[in-house]
Amino acid sequence: MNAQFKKGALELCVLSQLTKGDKYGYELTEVISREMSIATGTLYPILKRLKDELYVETYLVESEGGPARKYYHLTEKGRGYQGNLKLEWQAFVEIVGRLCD
Amino acid sequence: MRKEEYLNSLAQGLRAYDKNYVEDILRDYEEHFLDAAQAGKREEEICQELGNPEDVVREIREMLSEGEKRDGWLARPQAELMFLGGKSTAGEEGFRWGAGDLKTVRFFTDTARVRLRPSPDGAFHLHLSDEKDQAYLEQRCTADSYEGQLKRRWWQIFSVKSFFQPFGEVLLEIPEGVLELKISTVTGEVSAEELRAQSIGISSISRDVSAWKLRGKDISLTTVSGRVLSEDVKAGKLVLRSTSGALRGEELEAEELFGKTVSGLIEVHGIYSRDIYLKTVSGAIKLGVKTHRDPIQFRTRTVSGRVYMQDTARQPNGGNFDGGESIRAVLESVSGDITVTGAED
Repeated sequence: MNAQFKKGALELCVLSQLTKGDKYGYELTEVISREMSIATGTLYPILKRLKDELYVETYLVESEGGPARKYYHLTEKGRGYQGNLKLEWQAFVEIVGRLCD
Repeated sequence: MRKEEYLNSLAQGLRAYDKNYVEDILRDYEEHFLDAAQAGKREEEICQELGNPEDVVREIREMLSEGEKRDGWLARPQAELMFLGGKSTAGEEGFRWGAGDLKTVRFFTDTARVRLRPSPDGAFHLHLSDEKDQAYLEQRCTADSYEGQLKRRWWQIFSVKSFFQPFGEVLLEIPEGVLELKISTVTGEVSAEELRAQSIGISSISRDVSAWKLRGKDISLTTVSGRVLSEDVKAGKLVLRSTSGALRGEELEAEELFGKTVSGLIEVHGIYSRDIYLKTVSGAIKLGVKTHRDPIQFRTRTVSGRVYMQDTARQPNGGNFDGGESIRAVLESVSGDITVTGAED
């Protein structure tokens, strides 16, 4: 898949996955990389930025046999942002689809 | 590639960036390694999935430079300068001196606050707290010097809006090996910490100059209407000067200590110096010397103030020095009191 496409869509994918429930970093990278071939390392700066912009918040949960895991939770602000982004994306895909046909 | 190597190359690639940010994101990668290992993956495999560390670093850098357009502080060093055959200006490519090549740093600004601190990675950096200020930044560099100015020209001052909007803060990160450091401002305060250079000159016209942990052969801290605040400064010759502000010093060590103000107070404690000259017209002088077994010869002079010597072993002396091994201290105030507290051997 075209790298530029992926880059633009990755943020929406991350946010959308979080609408289904809180996830920790590795879990998120697994879910996304199963569908899309990406360098999963690039997800962390995205998560960090989403956090800085208050779209997600994080909390730590002790895990058995390992160190505490950082979970990402979508905030109300993030939910709103995800909704808008999704609409924009759908509109965009529709337009591109029409133009390509 | 193994985990250790992977994390190291990320840390290396991001070393010039905000420490908190970098530590935080490295922790995320570390956690990723642990979780993936728990899921039964080998370190090599995990590295491969994460992607080439250079690409990840590039991604992070891009993100940070986007971020800085919104935030106040620039996470990315602003002035790694482009070299244009003797004359150079700030550029995207950046100009880097080799370790120890940069010998002279001079910076002037009219209204910005300036903060100086040692470089975290051995390279010279300049950061601006307000991106808009960049339009006013002029820089020149040669193979061994950096000269920067952040000021408004007369036609820029002419706009009322910009006149009332002073610049933000400039942060200069100074590498080791710089011999001459000269910083001057008009209405910006200057603070310097943990720096070493042969010659350090810091001056402001209307604001405070503060220094902490400076080392040098010649150090001069001057202001006209601000205060000079210094702590833990060691120099061959140390000059503190103000016109209407106070001079305050704590733990100063200098072969020669020279302090002069007109209407301010001089208060210096924990002084270790062989040659002390402190002068004020209408302020008081408080000196706490830390010595030395050598005797101190004081020459104190005040017209309408009084002299207090709290160390009875040492007597004020109005005459000339007789030379020899003794430490000389000249304290003069026209209308202020002079107080000397004694040695804490």
